[in-house]
Amino acid sequence: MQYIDPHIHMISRTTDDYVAMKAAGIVAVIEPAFWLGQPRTTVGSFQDYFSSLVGWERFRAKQFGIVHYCTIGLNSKEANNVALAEEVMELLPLYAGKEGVVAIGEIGYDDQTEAEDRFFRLQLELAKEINLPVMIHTPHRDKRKGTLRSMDVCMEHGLDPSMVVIDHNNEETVKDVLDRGFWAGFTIYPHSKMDSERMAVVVQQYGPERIIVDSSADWGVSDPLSVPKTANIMRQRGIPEEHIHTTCYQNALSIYGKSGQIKEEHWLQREAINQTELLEGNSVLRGQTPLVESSTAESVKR
Amino acid sequence: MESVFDYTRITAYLLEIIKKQADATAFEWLQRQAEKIAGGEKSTSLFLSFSQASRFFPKDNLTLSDSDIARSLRKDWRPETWNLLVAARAYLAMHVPAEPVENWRKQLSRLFETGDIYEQEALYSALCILPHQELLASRASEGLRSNMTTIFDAVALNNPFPAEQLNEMAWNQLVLKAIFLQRPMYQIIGIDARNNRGLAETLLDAVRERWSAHRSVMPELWRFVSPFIDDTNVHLIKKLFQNGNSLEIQAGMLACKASKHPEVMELVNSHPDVKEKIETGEITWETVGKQYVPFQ
Repeated sequence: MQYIDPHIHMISRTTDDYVAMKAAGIVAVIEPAFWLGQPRTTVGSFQDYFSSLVGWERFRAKQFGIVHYCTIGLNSKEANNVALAEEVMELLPLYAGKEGVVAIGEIGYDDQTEAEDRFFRLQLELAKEINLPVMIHTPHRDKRKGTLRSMDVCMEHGLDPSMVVIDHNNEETVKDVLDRGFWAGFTIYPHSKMDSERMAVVVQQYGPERIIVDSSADWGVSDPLSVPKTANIMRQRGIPEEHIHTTCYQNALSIYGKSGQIKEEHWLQREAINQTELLEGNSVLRGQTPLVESSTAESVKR
Repeated sequence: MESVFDYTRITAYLLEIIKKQADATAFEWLQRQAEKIAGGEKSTSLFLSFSQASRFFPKDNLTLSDSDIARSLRKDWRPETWNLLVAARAYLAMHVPAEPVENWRKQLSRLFETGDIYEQEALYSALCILPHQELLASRASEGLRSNMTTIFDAVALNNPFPAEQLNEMAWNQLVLKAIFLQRPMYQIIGIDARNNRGLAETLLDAVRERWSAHRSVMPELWRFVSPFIDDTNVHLIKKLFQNGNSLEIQAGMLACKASKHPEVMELVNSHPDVKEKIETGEITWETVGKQYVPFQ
């Protein structure tokens, strides 16, 4: 079974994670631009972060046989530093059109302040202008209201709900999101947000249409294998294989595929892993024997 | 050294080879964007079109009917090692107004600094045809510091820029890092002219270090040592001949070819079959480099 994790912050994960993810069947990841735990104070930090997302992290993932995509955006937390946020807004168009950028995101509300609202709306306009999907982060606090408000604002700006993923849903928000025609992302966190068992129940109740499972793994307590693990729990609960495929692979591909930047052929026909492309010093391989796949190996052809 | 290329002809030639492979929509798009960039309109049009080129041009290898034309326009230029997307982006970059130079430098820096892997690949590959060659050496060194091989290769391999513009220290870094990364050294342009004793000594230190750890070194390393074999290091050459596999012996033989050192001449005569193949051109640094499989 192949999986896509359409929301994971690989920049804070180790190479062991990449190895485990590949072994578990993850073929592609989407890394949304977010904050770093430590607030940034200059626009240069944003520039270098965006550059990592389209540069080094993509290269790193490739060495482990995983195709890396990203979304570009100003996150809601840092939107509250208005002077800086204005500078970041000028930077976004430079990155939003790049190869492998599949959406504007993750954007939306955190504390639901005026500043957050302003930059959320500006970025919805940007997404519309360049015809990219949108990934929306819904707030941890006051989630239900924040989620409904995010969708209202999208509609107000004339976005097509089929171009928008509302992420970090739970049982209390999913019905509204699906009813209004948006895609519903679910973040499986070990101790908060959503767990695999509850996720399986949601899929049983609502079916697989427009439901997306992701890990949102980052530098906090989180699990980069959430997607394959949740798939296994669904399997144990007797959810049909086809529904697992839809929620843990196909839906992410369908919505983010609207960017034209993510295609199945990227991993079905990817080059064989060649870690001899790798380097000394502070690179990802340190003296160990590099993995070199034969171009005819089964795992590659598949 | 002042740059002396005919940029207009280089740019026209690029367009001509792109036209042969690109589809009509992409080709029209490219010309339109280039005009905007040359007209110095909003700088965002440069950055946007540079990114968006990936939506119009695939990364298919360029096929040139006559690569001698490229060489006649710019010495040692090898666009046949580029892909179509690199060529299209190089074409756009050539339209950034070269004067005033401060403005040009600012635009180019911004492209480099905000580029994704493939945009940087294109920019670094195009270093050898950009205007103001004499201002780009530190940019090349920056690319050589990259840990993304795609970018390192764009500067180091099949690119005449480094041999012409890098100072000795930067050149030596290029070679040393390429050895560590096990890149195909024969694709570096201008090796023999830039060989120097300092580099040879550093590489021989690397040989001692690797051999102490019971590891091998890539055979192409000996090309850089070749002109500097003397009493102080000939024992290393002898050790190479004693323990080397057949590819390493070939490399040793190539390295010793020009040496007049009596002990070396003795070594050379011990392998008449290889000697003959070297004389007939059947064994060259290129054949050795092509046969070498890294990490074995």
